[in-house]
Order: sequence, then structure tokens, then C-alpha cells
Amino acid sequence: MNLARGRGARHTYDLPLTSLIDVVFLLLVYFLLTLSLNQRESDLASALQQDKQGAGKAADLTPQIVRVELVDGKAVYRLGERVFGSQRDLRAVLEALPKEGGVFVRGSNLAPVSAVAGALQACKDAGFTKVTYVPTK
Amino acid sequence: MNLTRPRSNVRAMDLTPMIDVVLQLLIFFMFTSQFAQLTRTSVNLPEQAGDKDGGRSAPTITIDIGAEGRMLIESRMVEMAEVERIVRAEIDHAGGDAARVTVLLRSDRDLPALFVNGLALRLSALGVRGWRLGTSAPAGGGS
Repeated sequence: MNLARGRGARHTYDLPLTSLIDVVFLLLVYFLLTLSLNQRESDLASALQQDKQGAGKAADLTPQIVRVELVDGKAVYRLGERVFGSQRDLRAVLEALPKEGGVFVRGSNLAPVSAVAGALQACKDAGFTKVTYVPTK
Repeated sequence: MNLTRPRSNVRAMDLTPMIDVVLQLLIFFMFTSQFAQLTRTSVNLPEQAGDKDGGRSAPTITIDIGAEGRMLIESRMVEMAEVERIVRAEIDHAGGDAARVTVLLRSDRDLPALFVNGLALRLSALGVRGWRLGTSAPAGGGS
């Protein structure tokens, strides 16, 4: 005679939830604390102009040159003879230009960094992939 | 007649310590990666959307330029000679290939470009070509 419980017996296994809840709450606190600490940052990549000259290899395509200057206390963008007071105007003109030769951005020593970043951003937004920064000596 | 209950071969594995340890490790790595970013000084970066391709590698060196034109690396104030020494060391570390060294420059937005230009000229003289200008996303999230 088999008095043991039959096949219908239930085996329940308890999942230990205590530590899971602990850690989930720790993660929650962590994210809440760090959320306001970090400002969302990005960056604008460009090449730095090198002093080395190409050995007799003249470029077929001349790059566009954007100059960032400070005129009457206001940052302006100069492209050839044209002067732009806003990043949007600069971008609109750059979009129409050929992109193959790339673009040089030259920031004058007095121009604010924000304007230099604005010029780099306008070049990127206009579709230039070869963007070179030329520091003023 | 056997009155004992049949022994179950199923052994309940105790998951508690494993969950504890795995998640504590997770927290540890998340914290340390966060601290790496927190060593950056708070700088009023230019408000620009930045490059759209987010898949680039992390910069080799991050240089902060505060509102007064002071340069900081990992929150430590450095002079130009020290910056050059660090960059040279990174170039050596990269097998002498300066093209593999990327510098992220986080400069105050209102600062004249004089400081950025000075640093860029030194980096250029050392053969560094890759550099990035740090920006912060505009408040509205637009470009």
C-alpha cells in the first residue's frame, strides 16, 4: 500500500524576490540621482589643419572658406565677400555650394567659441563631410 | 511496504546570492562609467546639436577650457606644457601614430577663440588631426 502523495502533488518553488527588489530600488535611486547631473552633450568633429604641405599635389577642388569674425561686438560669418549674421543664413548658402572640396573654418582669435561652433554646425548641417578647422595664429 | 515519500531529484538552486552579486556588479560598472563623466568640469558649452553620427569612438583626451581660459584635464588645472606632455604620451601609447589620437575640447561658449586656437595650433604641431568641439544639446532639443 502506497501512502505517499500521488502524482497530483504540487511542488511550489519560491523565487527569492527580496534581493531583486533591493537592487531594483537601488537602480531606481541611481537613475534618479544621475538624471539631473548629466547635461546631454554632443560634439562637432573636424580635422585640424596641418602645416605640412602636399608634395606638389595641387588640389583640384578648392575648399570653401568660412571665416568667423567679431565685427562691432557681434559674431559674423564671412564666406568670400558675403557676410552673414546668423548661422541659418550661412547654412542656406553653404547648402547650395559643391561639397567635394570640403570646407575650412577659420575662427579669429576674438570670435566667441559659440560662433565657431555655429560655423562648424552650419557646415555639417549643409552636408559637408570634410570639415577642417584652421586656427588663427 | 515502503511508507517513505519518494525523494525528489530536483534541487532548488538558491538564486539570491547570484542575483545580488550580478546586480551589484552591474551597479558598480554603471557608477564607475558615470564617474568617468563626472570628472569633467561643468562648462557652459556652445549650444549646438553636434554631429549626427553617434557611433564614434570615445576621445583619447578630454580638455576643458573654463570661463577664464584655464585648461583642465580630469578636473585638474594644467598648463600648456603639461597638455603637450600628456598628448605626447598618448601618441606614444598609440604606437607613435598621432592620427589615432582624438582630442575632445570642451570650451566655454563665451570665451574668445584665442584659447581654442592656441591649443589647436599646439595639437596641430604635434601631428594631431582629429579633434572635436564639445557642444550641449539646445534646450528645445532642436538643431
